[in-house]
Amino acid sequence: MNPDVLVIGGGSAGVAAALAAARQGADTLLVERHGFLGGAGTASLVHSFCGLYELPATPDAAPKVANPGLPAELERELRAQGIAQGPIRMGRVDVLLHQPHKLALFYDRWCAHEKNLNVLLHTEVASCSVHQNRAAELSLLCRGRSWSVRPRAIVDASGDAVLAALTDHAWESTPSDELQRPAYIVGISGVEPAAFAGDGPLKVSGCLARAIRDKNLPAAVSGAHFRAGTMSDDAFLTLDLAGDSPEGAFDPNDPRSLTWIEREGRETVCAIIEHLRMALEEFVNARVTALPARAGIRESRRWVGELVLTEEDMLESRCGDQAVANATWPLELRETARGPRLLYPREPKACGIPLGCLRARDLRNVFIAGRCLSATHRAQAGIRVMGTALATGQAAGIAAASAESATGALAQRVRKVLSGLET
Amino acid sequence: MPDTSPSTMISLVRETVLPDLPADFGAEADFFEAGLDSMGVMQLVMFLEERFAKKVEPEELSRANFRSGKALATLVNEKAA
Repeated sequence: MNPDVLVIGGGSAGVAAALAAARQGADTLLVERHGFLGGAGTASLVHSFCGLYELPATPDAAPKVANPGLPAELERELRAQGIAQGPIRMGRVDVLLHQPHKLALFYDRWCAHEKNLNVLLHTEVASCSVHQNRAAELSLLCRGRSWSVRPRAIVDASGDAVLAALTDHAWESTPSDELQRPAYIVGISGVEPAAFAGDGPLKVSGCLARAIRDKNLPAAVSGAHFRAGTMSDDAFLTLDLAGDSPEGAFDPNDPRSLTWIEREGRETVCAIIEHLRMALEEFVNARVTALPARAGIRESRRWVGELVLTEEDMLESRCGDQAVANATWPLELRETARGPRLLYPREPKACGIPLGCLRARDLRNVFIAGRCLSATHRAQAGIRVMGTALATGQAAGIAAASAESATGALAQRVRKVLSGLET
Repeated sequence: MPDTSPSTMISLVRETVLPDLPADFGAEADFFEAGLDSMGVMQLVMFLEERFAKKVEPEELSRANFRSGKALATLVNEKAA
């Protein structure tokens, strides 16, 4: 089993990379550590696609999908199949709200359609050898069974730059106190719709503030907010966590830190629901109906690529010859668990992410997509979202499927392929 | 007696939940349009209760009362009266 292209991680970026590579004719293998595809959009119950649409040029501008090809196809199909609702204008941006479990099904079917694509769930990369500036042989692991593959090219869409860590390639991370905070999201049911309409959300907030003040709930509750789902009786409770435990500062790559976050998230959201059931009549029948497979991590390792995307690239909406994916989400800083801080580009225009940010600096056959692509901490706060991950995945997949060449020429080839796709 | 003017309220909102509020943000400009959400209101309530040693009652939790610097000043002043 030696695929042309191996894609690591089946989130938004990885699925798009695998589909794009397969559609270019490459024999493609996608490995995913969970039992379903979708990444943050399924496993962490992130229930909206951000970065899928262009920034509206004027307040009444009609939403338009920001990238051709797979993002446009996904948007059309999710709406047509009733899996998603929207686009919905939230402040200055448009988002598409989706049902996580149906997104998992959609990804299964999307991938099953592609004859050149094999998907292996419950599979991850355990090691990788390097030979002459190329990733050579990778060991894959499933439940204690391991085997080797020698792909021609690899796309790391793991979110954690696992291939950089395994090969000792250059990667960067942000000091713990500046990292984007994690979020713990659960699905809930049985809440009266009034709780999410008009002044309802403020009453809920006031009730929680009082419970924190009276020490009936822990201070971590201050990172909570609710959002109605796409079905009448569904909602989501999102809890932004500081992530620091009594034993140590937040570290998204340390199992002790991750274990603490999962436990803290579960304890806190369940305490919130129990409290609201007693305190507010709209919540009398509320119950947690879905736990995430994992807490939502916004930032961990970042690859060092040929180029590094910067905050100024994003705020200036730079778009050069190598641009292969449009980033349209503001820099969404969540360096505290007290809500987002949004930094918008000076003009409502996309930043064109150059292919050099999707290519490992020192490994010629490794491409990168999704939140671990080569960007500074600040730029990552804009490109990490699922809509943009689809676009970077698609570009990395097309590049990985092409016969290797210099990055400039390869970028032109990717752009040519993109120009022929559905918009 | 602490300062409860609209401009002080705007400074407090900037300090606690909306750091990017422009310097010329007016007394009647809308905090919700500037990005205030229910999570922000929770933090603001906790902050105001501590700063002014007053409880915000459940029936006072409305968009109208938290909309602007002027509305917040009225809310806090009424509570102080």
